[in-house]
Amino acid sequence: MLRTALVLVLVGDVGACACAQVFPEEREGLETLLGQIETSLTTQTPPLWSLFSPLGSLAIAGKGDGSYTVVRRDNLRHNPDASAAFALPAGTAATFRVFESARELTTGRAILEGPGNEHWLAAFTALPDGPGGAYRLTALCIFPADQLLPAEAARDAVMVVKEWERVVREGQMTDLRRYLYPEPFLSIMGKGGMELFLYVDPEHYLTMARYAIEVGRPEISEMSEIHAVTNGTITVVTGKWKAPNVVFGLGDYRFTAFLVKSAKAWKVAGMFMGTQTQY
Amino acid sequence: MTFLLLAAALGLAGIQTAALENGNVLALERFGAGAPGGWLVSGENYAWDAETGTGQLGPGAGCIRFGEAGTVELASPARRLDDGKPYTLLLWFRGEPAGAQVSVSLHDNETRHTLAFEKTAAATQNWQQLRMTQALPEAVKGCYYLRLAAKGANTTLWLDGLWLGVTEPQPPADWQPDWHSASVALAPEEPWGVVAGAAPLRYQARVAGVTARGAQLKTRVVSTTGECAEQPAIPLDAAGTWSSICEIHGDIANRFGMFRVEAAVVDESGKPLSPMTETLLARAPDPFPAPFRDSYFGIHVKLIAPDLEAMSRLGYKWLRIHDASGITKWGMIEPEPGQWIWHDDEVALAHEKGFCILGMLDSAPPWESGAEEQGYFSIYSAPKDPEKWRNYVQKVVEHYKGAIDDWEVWNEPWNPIGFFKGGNPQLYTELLKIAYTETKAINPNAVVIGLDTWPPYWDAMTLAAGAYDYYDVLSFHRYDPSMHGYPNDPIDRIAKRLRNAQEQYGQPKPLMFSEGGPDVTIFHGSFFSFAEPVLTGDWSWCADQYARMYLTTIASDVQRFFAYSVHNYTHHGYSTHMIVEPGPLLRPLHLTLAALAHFVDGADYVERLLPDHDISAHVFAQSHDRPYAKGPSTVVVLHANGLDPEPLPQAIPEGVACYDRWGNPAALPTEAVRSPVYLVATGDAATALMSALATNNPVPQP
Repeated sequence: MLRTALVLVLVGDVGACACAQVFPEEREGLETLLGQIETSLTTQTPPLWSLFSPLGSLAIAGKGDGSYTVVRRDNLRHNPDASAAFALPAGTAATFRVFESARELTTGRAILEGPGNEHWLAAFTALPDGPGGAYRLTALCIFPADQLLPAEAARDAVMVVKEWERVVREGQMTDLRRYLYPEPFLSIMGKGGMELFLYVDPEHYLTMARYAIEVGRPEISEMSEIHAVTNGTITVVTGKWKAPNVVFGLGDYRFTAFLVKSAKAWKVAGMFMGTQTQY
Repeated sequence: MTFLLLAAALGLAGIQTAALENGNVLALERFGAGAPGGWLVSGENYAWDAETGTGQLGPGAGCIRFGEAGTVELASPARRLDDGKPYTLLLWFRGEPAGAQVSVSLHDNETRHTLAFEKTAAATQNWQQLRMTQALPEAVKGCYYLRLAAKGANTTLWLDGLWLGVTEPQPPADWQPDWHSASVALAPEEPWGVVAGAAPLRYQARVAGVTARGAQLKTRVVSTTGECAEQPAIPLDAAGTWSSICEIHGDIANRFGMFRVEAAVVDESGKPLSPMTETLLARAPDPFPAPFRDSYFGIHVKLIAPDLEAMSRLGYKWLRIHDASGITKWGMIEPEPGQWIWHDDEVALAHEKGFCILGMLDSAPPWESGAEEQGYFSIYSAPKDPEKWRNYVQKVVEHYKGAIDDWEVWNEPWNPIGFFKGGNPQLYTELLKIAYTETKAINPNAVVIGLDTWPPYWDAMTLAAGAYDYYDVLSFHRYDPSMHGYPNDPIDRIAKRLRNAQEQYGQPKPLMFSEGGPDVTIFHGSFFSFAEPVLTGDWSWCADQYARMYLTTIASDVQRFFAYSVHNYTHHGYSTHMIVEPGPLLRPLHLTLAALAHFVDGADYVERLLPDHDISAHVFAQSHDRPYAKGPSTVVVLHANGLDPEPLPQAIPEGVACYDRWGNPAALPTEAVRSPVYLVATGDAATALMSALATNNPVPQP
């Protein structure tokens, strides 16, 4: 697939201009992280696990045959097979990239181009909790991009994400149970002042979310600017979500969801939300 | 098969389980000994004894004598059952005189809705068996609990043979399970099963029913440290009832942490004659002497002796009134105009147990607020008349002057649909101003705690409305099961936000984390063997999380934290903010809290060292004599910032003592892990320890 076509797939019709912009100092930190990801995937130095935050982590690697590996930082650290699933050919480098700010819970997507003109998509979320305030990954998802499917193929995965919109509005958080990937799972919700809520267990996530909705069910739950990229077994969905809630924050969120197809059903392995406006 | 799986899950080594194809999923089968651990028992005007005479299943039935309008209700622990499969419920009962009513029902643990086996029957003078077979409807989380209730007036009710299990294929009409001939119940001797320091761990064991020749009570103890110890078998009488105070023996008895005592009656060949039953005990390290106003550790607890005693042994030093007792809330102490209810005895009892009290200036009686809502929230509408609020403040502060000198103004006023209906930041600020002015006029030594914020808008708007001048300490709430304790974690961020918010108006005032915790049951953990992780979570995780939540409060320079709560008891497995098992019995997280309190209460927080970017070493200067060090000592609480173990860059030097998360002596660590450990050193060893843990990569402040 041509790089320009990939760019369109990556950012959608709305283009990068519609995404939340990052400050120059954030961009610098994110470029540094992206560079580390490049060298780690191609040379295993630094080891990929070391780029992840220990607070919670999720790493997804897709292969050309549609299979995938889903692991945590600890697996990457101690299981060579797990880390090998993320290896890319030497010389692979990021070309187009887009960063979106949701306060300090930042997301990014990039096209990685290999020496044989093959391509991968990399999507990630990151927190500035590393040494010196460096960004570290909370989630990373890479998969081959040369056989990406058209947007309609992501419809079912997007519908799963849209379930969040519905259940929050209706106060039925437990309806999400069937859509959550059991392990590994990671959800981070950033509210004002980056007082993060972080869940590594889907039952924990559901329990807290249900409580939050009970205390202050949002009158509004609207997703917009939804964009999805899929290879048929992995889908990355990004968008904007207006769902003011007393417990988690009264702002507008940007979200990134990582879904994998498991037993013919889409499951959310990672859900990341951060506020852009907060009061 | 279910029974075999259950037996395997219970893991009672050395006690054989009956070879029933379909077994009883309930530990309460015969009623003579009482209710097994994990069952919630409540009621009025009743006495529960063992029937030593022959009954339908032999000696050992339960004999319940009701007085006037007597009631008793039991709720089983929540258990995972197979929906869609046919279950049979059996219960033998009779009454004398006839007339007592017996009700059973099986409920969805999540919703409490009745799903199956709903039946009420009147007891006759002859034994009758309640018998129902039904396929179970689906429960939200696949977990169910059984409710058994009985009531009567001046009558005696005999209960026996409670059985619930899969019966597939459908059993014949006259089918009876292979009943156990005996029952066992265990109960701690001490309040909530907790002792402090070196006190013996004791429990009462009761056995009822036929016990075959050579029968023994076989017991083992499992601890949160991972140890398991068989206890000497106790020979039992041939029949009838038996009761004894037992003590845990062996090295395991000296550990700090929690203990599960498991017991069953077995015959001389080891065949079980009773279901296995269990109870929970705990040993906490000696708490810092009470009272201690500067303590970091607070809790919400009922003002009754056993509960206060148990919390005191764990090291909690402060209690916050709120709805644990409500004894200072306007809506509860002036139910009619001018009719004041004072609770001097409860306040005195709390002091006697060493507690300092955070009183609440809170709520309004419906006669004043005009609230029409009934029940719990009827008192949480904003008052209409500020002068009546002023009068209430004057009355309560004056009455408890010298006994309660710390007053928080309103609970969660930021919640206009819950605790402050009809309120807003401006009204709150007006009430706060009145409360502060009147409290200080009556009791100049009093401390007024204000704002009680959660969402940022609340502190911003109340401060903008002029609140800054009318509190001494700013309070906030947070429920958050995250693994806290890392630099810039959510509690730390909140503290920074609230200091920043105040800076516009003056010098930031001290902060108090006046309510919160890991949230509901799934974040608590349970040490019962039958606990379902989907309901009660991972006790080990929860034990680390709870201690680290208090720890980060201290590290964030917040005065203290009041966990919510231990003041109410529901059936095991029900999702609730109550950090307690029925009994009441403890959950392991209170014991990691006890260890933290043991080591750091009375000590000053000095700094956080970061020997590696992902490791925190919280340094405390302890100036008091403590069991772990005579004279001044350095205490370091060490943990990995995240979830994964992280190697320590330098070895911990010799001469440093290490204790595990429960307070037990441990080997010096080579890595930091999720669980906090305690490093104690004095003199040169303390200096060497600081050097070994010196910060390598400081974390930038946001």
